[in-house]
Amino acid sequence: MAYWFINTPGIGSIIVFAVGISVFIAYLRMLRWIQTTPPDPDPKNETSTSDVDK
Amino acid sequence: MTSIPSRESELERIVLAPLRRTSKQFYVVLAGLSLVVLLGAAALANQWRLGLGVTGLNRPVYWGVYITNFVFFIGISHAGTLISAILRVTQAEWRRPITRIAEAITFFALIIGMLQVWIDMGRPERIIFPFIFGRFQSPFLWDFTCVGVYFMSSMLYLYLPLVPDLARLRDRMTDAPRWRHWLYTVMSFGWHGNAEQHRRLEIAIGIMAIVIIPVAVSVHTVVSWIFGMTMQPMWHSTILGPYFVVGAIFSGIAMLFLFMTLLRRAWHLELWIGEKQYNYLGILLLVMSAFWGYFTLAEFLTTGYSTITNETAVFHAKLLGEYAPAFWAMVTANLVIPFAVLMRRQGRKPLGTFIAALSVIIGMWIERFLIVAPSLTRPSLGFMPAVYTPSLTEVAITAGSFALFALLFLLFFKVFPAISVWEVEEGQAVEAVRQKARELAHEGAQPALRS
Repeated sequence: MAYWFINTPGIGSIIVFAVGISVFIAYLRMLRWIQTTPPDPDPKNETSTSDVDK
Repeated sequence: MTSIPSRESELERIVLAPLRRTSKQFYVVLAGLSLVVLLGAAALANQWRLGLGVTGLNRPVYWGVYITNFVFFIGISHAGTLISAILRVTQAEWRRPITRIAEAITFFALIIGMLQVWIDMGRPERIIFPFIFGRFQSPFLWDFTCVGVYFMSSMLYLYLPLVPDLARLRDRMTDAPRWRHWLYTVMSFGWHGNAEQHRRLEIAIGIMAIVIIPVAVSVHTVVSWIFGMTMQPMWHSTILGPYFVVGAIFSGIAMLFLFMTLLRRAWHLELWIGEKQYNYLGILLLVMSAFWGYFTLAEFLTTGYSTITNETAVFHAKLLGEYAPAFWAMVTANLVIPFAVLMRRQGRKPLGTFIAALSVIIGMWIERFLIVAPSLTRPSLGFMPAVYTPSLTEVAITAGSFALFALLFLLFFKVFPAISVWEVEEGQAVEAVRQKARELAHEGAQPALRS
């Protein structure tokens, strides 16, 4: 079984894609986690220059 | 969390200046690099039309300059990740102005490195073959896995510290062309930069810095296994993995020096990239040169001491035969020149390190070539000793690849700041707090000393 797994053409690429897609999803989730931070109720605490200028 | 003042600081003014104004020299360099890239593209189109016969590759030498470039560029890609990640994890404060340059080198070197495998395949559609016919017992597939993960990781590792600066560009550069302003807005994904968002960003960067170190080491180890898993003389060696990793970090630091110095001069970043960075990185380059020398000695001494006919044939070809000039040039470039220049503190200045780095870049490319080609000219199976000479097509494609690498780097830093502004500001704040703490400690110590 193990030999079939590593010796069958095409199975290798499935492993490559499975690893790649898992990592890609994990990284996207990390970005989303940063993006969805709730904004501060007091805009003075935010570092965006336009907000400060307002 | 302190707010960003509406007036630009000196750091911002200097770092954002090249993004706002374009000099004549920029266009000249851009035109020169584009021309070489076009030349390489024309040579590649010709190779695709006529086949690999236009190269110097033949039986038994099936790998040459393209695979040399692949190993070289994947090695260069260790610049950002390892240097930036290790320095970040160890909290070396002097890293702050140079991390982005290092991370960009990683990203673009990986693109050029992966391109070389495609070029070496001979025809564009063959890129799909490893996916259709690939078996996971082949180190090629391991390489696809590791390089793929490394590519995504280094892209994210470049992007994450860029986000607060992108928000700054979105807000500061309102007079930029519309496409650029749109780019900054989209890429900063609504960054508002409150304390919680900064905390999350720092956690993510910290995780990536730790994750990327073993990934980077795995990449070049697996690249070495592509050679090491075969029975070719001087490839089938257990030392090849760490030898490749050491060489990768060595060449990566050299490339960082090279680009850092050029960008520092062209973008006028002298105030931020200074003596400290050159001194510490110079010492690091010197240490890596010593490591590289140790591994080279270990590799060659063990092979030279043996009486395995195929191994000694390659050994003699490298040290005394047709590859001897290249071999001794490599030793001079990777050991003699860096030691001669960087041993003294006076040498660890921009000019000295630039010379040493250029020498190491040339030396490491020769080293990669000497790993790939000589073993194939004297293979284990019953072939007569062969000769490999790169053709003009290979030279043109290689020149085009190097030019494309420099071009991508140049264009990136025309649109994005070369120095991580928020990280340098954070470093300044840390330094100010430390200074205040030192003063308070000194004041507190005075009465105690008097009593």
